Amino acid sequence: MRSALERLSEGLALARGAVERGGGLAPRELAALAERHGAHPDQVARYAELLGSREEVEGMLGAREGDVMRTLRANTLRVDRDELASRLEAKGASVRPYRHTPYGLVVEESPIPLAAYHEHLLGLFYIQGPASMLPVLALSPEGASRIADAAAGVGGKATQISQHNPRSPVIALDVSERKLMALKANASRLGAFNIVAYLMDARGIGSLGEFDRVLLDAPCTGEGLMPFARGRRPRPQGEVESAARVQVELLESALRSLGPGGELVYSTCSTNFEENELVVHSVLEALEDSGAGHFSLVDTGLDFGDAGAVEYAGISLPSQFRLCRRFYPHRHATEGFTICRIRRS
Amino acid sequence: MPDKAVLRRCTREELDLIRSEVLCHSSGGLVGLDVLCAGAPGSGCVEVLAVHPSASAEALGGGRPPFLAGVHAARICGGRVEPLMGLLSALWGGIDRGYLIVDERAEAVFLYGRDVLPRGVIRRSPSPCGTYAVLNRRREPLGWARRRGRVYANLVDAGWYLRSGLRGRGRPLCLITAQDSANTASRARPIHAPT
Repeated sequence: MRSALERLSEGLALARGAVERGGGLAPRELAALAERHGAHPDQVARYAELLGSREEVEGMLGAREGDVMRTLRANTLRVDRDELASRLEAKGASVRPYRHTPYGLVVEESPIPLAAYHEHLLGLFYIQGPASMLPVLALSPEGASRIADAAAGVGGKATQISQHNPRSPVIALDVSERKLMALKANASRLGAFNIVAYLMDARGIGSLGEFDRVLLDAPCTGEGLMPFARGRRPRPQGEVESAARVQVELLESALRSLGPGGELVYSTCSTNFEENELVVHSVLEALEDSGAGHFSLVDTGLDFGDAGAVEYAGISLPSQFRLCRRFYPHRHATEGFTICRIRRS
Repeated sequence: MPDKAVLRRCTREELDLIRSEVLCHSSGGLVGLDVLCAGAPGSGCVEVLAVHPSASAEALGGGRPPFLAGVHAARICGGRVEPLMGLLSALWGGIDRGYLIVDERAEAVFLYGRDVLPRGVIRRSPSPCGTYAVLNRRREPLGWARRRGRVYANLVDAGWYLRSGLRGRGRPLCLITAQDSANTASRARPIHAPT
């Protein structure tokens, strides 16, 4: 019986081969694109392997901050979206509903930075990227009795879960004390009273009992943030592989913590196949073989995004992986993101 | 207080102190929230947390000590309650006494950490505790102030979140040790006005 990590390693080896072959692009072309866009040649090769055409690769690499919708999340614990929109417009901003969510606003123009609005200081909204808002919608935690945010960071999604379900405990885990301090400030500002945070590695989530909803917005290469200056840096294949190994361990632990009928949403701010479908596939197969239970991919319920990838670097995945959702800056005007939803039978 | 403090149910004395502070500002009290404490009672400062009951059960009932539960609402030092921004979150929409309503200019300068001058006050409701919840015209809470001569001195305001630079920088206020707190336990209960 092969472990999830062993399965992952086999997939990573195939992916590495495809990347070394340039994803079908000539070496000079690869180097030129990498240099022009501040990317690593491996990264260009990954996009070529994933997206197919040179135009698509250029579109992806050329996306910049202005191509991504600037969005915020109205804190519906305190204000509804329309009222917040009116208040911001009265201060000179131009906003419109982010129609894929019940509380998002797209900010077209603003005379001041979003963080400087009094409405922000008073906890009436949280600044959140357009794709970053989607994993919690896919999780649909309404009605769940015990929810985990396994890599909570500063609590953006944990407080979003509180908006959906302010009455059930939200268990937020992170290994960074600094981030949990920021989570504390965010929970206070937004009035999220049902969060219990633990300073711990989510690989130990099993010690906290069973959950009926788990969000694993896994630490990743952050390659989906390439349009932003803060996220624009070269990422060699080795970095992707390291991230995927950690992701496999996190996902396996998180899935084991699901109770029967429970659901987990796995997401990353990366569009790399290695960090997403390959990770999920490696873990689901290993859990199935080990008799740990039956897990299956289910519809995310999201009304946009591309289907999950089922062919990459000679790897073929079952068609159910199309149920995952992929978001690209140049196609969807969001950060690069991937979201999969998994149910335990 | 030490950085590492045990999360526990508040003592009766602590609950009485918190209740008095809350009732200075809200006749309805803290609705639907439990109050938990962190730190040894009677020594140094005790941190006060406002927590949804489902989360307080989780935080106290689990085998592992949490880093944080709910919202950091106040601090008790030397028998005196220092209200924090979290208490305003907990009282959102329910502040009906012990407040100042300020105009837009006073709101802006208060959120930059400045005091409230008398000319910026539109309406004042007396506070027997000496602390005032500072509200804008929409009655949204901006922070806490205390009367000092003719001005209302800024104790804490919502703008600290930006001014602190790195959000959340500072010492952990609720890092819990595995120390058993059974000896100091008293029943946690929602704080309500006397009926």
